[in-house]
Amino acid sequence: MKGLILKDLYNAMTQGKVLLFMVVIFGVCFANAAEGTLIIMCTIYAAVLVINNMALDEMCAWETFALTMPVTRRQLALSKYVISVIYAFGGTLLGAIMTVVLRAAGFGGGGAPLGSILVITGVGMAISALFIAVLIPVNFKFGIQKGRFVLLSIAALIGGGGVLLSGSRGTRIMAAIGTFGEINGMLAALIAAAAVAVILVVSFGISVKIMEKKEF
Amino acid sequence: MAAEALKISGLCKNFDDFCLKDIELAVPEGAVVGLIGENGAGKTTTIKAAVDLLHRDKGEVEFFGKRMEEDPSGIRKEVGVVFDSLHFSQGLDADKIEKICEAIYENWDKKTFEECMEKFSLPHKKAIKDFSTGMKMKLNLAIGLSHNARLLIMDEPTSGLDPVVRDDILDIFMDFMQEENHAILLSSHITSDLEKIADYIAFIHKGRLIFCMPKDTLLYQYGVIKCSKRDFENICAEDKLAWRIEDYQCSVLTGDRRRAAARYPEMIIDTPTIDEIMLLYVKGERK
Repeated sequence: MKGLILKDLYNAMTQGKVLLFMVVIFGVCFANAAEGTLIIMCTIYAAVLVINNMALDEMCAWETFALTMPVTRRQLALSKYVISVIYAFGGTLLGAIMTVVLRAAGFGGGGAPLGSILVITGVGMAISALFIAVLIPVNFKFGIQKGRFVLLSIAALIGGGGVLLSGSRGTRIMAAIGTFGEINGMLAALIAAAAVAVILVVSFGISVKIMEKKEF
Repeated sequence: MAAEALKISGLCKNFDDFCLKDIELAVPEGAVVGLIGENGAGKTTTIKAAVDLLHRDKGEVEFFGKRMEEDPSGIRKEVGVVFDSLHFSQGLDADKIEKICEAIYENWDKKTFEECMEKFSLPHKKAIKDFSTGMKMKLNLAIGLSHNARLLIMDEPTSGLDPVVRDDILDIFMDFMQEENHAILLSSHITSDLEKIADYIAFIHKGRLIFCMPKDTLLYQYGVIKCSKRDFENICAEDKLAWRIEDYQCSVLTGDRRRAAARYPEMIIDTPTIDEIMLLYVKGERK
């Protein structure tokens, strides 16, 4: 597992200039946005960097070689989740540092309390986890090129679902969730964290199944 | 009799347009087995099915007497698989690749890797995208040799390389075979390489193993009878393994050159090359 993570980190480092460029772009774009926005954006961007790793793996048929080494298909799948979490934490940290630096330089959306920044960070993590939960199995199954089309289809379905929910029934459901969150803040956070964890576990299970069936 | 480093029994793998059927192949310890066959004959499929990159429909594969399911990690530590290209991202350099391999293989031998890098004159810090084809293959081999593997399985390792680099690589194989419990399964189109180093030749055609026999038997017992169409009719069926009838000449592969020389003194009987044998089986007719 350590070798697989190391390989992904080295691969990410080879794209250091692009990553640095993106960080600068985020800094410029979100310097004056509401505080926490930069953290959310950095977290999500960093988490989905795993797709770059998967694209590089696909280009050099890494998995074909990796499976001739003492590496299992399960470990190959798990490594992508672990590296995503590492990236997400790295992104959060980077976003937080940039926020502090920008605030010190007189930018920023006006001194939000630490508590709300932590909540925003949690939301960023949760969104990242959901992205990862979808992206990884889809790309294992379909590859990067086909995977894009599948993801677009999923996005369209979610968009369609959003339109359906925008009706009066949807508004009532969202309002009920909102009210529950306001009354039971901690409980809502725990339920959300548990739901994200379950989704990640299910996603990992699907990825393992895909990898076990896959031929190289 | 030497123990078997690799034993493939009754291996079948079906695809929509191709099937591998009942492959029986053994690689004894201390031996180099050359796997030959035309493009699409099933060489790579055999190798991939043997190392579990493809799911087998039928058949058993044993490494050092153990099935892969019994000890996958232990077996993979002792088997080095070398493909025809380097499966690492092009931005990495040899040092980073070594660190990755060191973290994956418990039995990684840093000293051997260093020796290989020096022997093959490979740079440590140069991105592999700037490596020549030969350098990439040498790095591939350095990886395969640096975890104390006892069996090397190689799929077209010398294809696309110039004769000088190919010769260097064959020398590396020879060095590897100095240990008597080492073995190599080498798939190659370049039969002249196999004539230099293989102990056995296994020939796959259309997903079937046509033969697997000692190279010396092929080269010193087999013969190619060159004759006219009229003479062809006079050759006994038992002397005809495969034949090709062309406009002015017939070529007949025979399994016993001396017997054929005694029976048909008026005919020319040549020592065959592996290429000739393969061509007669692939392009000619067989009994």
